[in-house]
Amino acid sequence: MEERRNSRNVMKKRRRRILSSLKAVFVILFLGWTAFPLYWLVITALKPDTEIVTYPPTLIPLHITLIHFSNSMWGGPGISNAAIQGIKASVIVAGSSTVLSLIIGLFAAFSIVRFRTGGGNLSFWIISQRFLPAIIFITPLFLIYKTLGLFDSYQGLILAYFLFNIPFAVLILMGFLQQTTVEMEESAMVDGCSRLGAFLRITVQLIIPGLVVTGLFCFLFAWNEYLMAYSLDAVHVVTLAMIIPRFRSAHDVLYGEISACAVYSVLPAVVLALALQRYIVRGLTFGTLKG
Amino acid sequence: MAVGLAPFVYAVALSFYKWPPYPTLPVTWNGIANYLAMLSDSEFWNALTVILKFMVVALPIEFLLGMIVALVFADFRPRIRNAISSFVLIPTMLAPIAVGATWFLMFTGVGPIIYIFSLLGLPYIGWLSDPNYALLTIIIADIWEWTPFVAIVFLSGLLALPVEPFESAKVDGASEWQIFKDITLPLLRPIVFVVLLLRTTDAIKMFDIPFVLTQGGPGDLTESISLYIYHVGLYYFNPSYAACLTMAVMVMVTIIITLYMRFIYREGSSFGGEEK
Repeated sequence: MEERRNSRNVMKKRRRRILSSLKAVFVILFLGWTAFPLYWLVITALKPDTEIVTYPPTLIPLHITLIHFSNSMWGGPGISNAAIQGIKASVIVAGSSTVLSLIIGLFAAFSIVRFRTGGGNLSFWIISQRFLPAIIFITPLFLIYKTLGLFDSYQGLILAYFLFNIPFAVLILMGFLQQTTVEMEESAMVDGCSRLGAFLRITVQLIIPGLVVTGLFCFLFAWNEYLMAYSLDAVHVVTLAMIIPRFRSAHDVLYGEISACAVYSVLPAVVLALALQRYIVRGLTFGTLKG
Repeated sequence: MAVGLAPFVYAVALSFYKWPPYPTLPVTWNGIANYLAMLSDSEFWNALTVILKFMVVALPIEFLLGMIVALVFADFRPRIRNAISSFVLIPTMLAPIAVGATWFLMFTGVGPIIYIFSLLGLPYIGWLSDPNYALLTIIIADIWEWTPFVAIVFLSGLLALPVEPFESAKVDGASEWQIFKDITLPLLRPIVFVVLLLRTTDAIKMFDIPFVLTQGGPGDLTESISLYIYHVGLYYFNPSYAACLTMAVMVMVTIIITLYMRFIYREGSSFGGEEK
């Protein structure tokens, strides 16, 4: 009896050990699967042209050059697209649409949370607008912009991103506002603050983290977005995301420049992924899950 | 909000008109002819099939893999867990267009995948141009981009679960599988629904990755519905028919959202934060 129990314990221990080493192998495989394409992107940008197209490919670059980074950033021989222009446009568009979404989103969220504007259906409507594919807005926006002269302009793209970000901003900010209480505002109002003053001085101070998270996600959306930028702009406004595929034409693929430009576009996302860790789940699920 | 409605109302109206082939001609009323044309448009049905195939393969893999990753990560110490989670989430935060570019480099003729296949003695596959594999490249890129998201959301769900049911189940001698099947999964259901809703609507939106990787080809085998509407609306410049296609997508998405929402509300999660 004693012996049998012992052997059972040994078996159990062995099974647990096998399971934990399986887990370790799985984690390593998953990390490798995540990291390898990123690694490949970076080393393709660093390899000289001749080495990029050699077969078999070199898993560790033999020579390292920064030529693709400078070519794609400033333009170079035979390369008319410069990432610096794209970065400028992206910063302007993403920055302005983010500020706009934050300001309007904050007041919209406040009125929904405190005064129950629109009742329950309004927030449902806001959510569903965000789930609709961007392509739905593209054709009408394109025609409207052509008529209004907003096509290929900063204002047009900023407005488009604002329209897309505002439901998201409202939802996330609603989540943060629900965690504050109306009593604090009321006590500030007793002390002589106006309703607006109480909101700005008390409540807004409390949800600054919420504003930061919302802002960063709105910014990232506009920074990463491709379809609207590509459809609503052509020459004057060229965002960074629009430049990446331009290094690939029907007869020629500038692998090095594509990679270098993709690395530029990826950097803010990587920084945000590492910095926003605490709020990422909330941001990515439109505030539906608190994380 | 009203500003957001304007393009939409315009699209509804547009879908009942006929766009002239030359800009000098007037736009004419077309009734429901666009909608009838859509029903017999083989490219429209093809685009829907592409999306459906994509979802049927990609979503189960993302959910299964994501769940395993979440369960494994949940056992780690918080500091390690947070570090790994932020690293793993990088693909999800990238511009989809950059994800497409990355996997273009991976699958191209001088890329590592073809080389690794030859090292393993597997046959040569021209991934991006082979009709049998082109859609698979998009699925793989999507799995790479979105599995971390699914995993991290599940992980945050797992960590927020109450401890008591697990302890009492352990006392009762339930096996790990039983605990997972009878306690963890039912408790996670609201979160699974939210993620499913997000991933389904994202799949319908899919544009950037096929745009860079395969440009809808070979033929129209990887032409997603967004890509098709883009081609019709802005490439062949038939905005009224594009608007009509748009309405179809709109109806589909609305039905999907309504169905999911019903489930989610029934599960009593704080979706939209109304009950609070």
